[in-house]
Amino acid sequence: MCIVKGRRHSILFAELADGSVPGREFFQSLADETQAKLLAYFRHVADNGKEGAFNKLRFRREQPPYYAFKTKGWTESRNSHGLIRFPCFCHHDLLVITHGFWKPRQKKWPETEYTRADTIRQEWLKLNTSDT
Amino acid sequence: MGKTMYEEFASTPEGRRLLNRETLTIEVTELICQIMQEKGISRKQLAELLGKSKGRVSQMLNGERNLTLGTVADIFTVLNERLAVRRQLDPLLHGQSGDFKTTRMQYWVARVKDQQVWKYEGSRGSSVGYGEVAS
Repeated sequence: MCIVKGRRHSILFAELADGSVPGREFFQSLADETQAKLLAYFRHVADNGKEGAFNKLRFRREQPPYYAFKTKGWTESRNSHGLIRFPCFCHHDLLVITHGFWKPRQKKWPETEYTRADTIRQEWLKLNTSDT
Repeated sequence: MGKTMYEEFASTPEGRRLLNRETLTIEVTELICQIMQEKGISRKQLAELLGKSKGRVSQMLNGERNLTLGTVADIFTVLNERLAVRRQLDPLLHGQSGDFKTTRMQYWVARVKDQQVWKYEGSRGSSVGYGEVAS
């Protein structure tokens, strides 16, 4: 599920064997304004590379091998603003987004989100690198 | 080949409006963050230079708070730089073919230093102004 193709990277949501795309499902639950914020930054990183992303409030290295797109957003279901994270990993020139989640305020990522990212990453790699 | 999600989003007038807002914000805030990194200036130090709180500066840099042109000018002034702006055709309307991905986004808004001549030359034309384009 390609989000954007740029000069340095293509950015995509990981699609799993059962056809589900966890990152896209979370992304589409967000307000249009929040989606636009994320898409514009996806475009920036796709064109300028990870090294060209200077704003650590928008994109930063997390626990290896993960990076994360960051923003704040509003959701009708929660009726509030919250901190949004999209973990991703690099595979050649691809940046693959595993999923998205609401991060608790003033706290580090819940360990369950790293576990989820690991599970999705391993499944995606198995599906996309087995014949190479 | 199918459209990307970005292209789908940009295909409506409302999507294009939202993306152009966010893209301009990103171009400006990325330049500010780049200068801060090069000069070793923290958000706390920038806040002190501007006479604002660190939280306010964070809100400005993460796009949560709308930056006024006056505030942008103030930020570049305290960083001893100046921001130059130029017009261009909207790439979301005019550049959606294959060469869109080769657009050099970092030059849409150019960071300049005072009193030197700079020249921009790119795939979408050229322009000349005062100040030196920083690498």
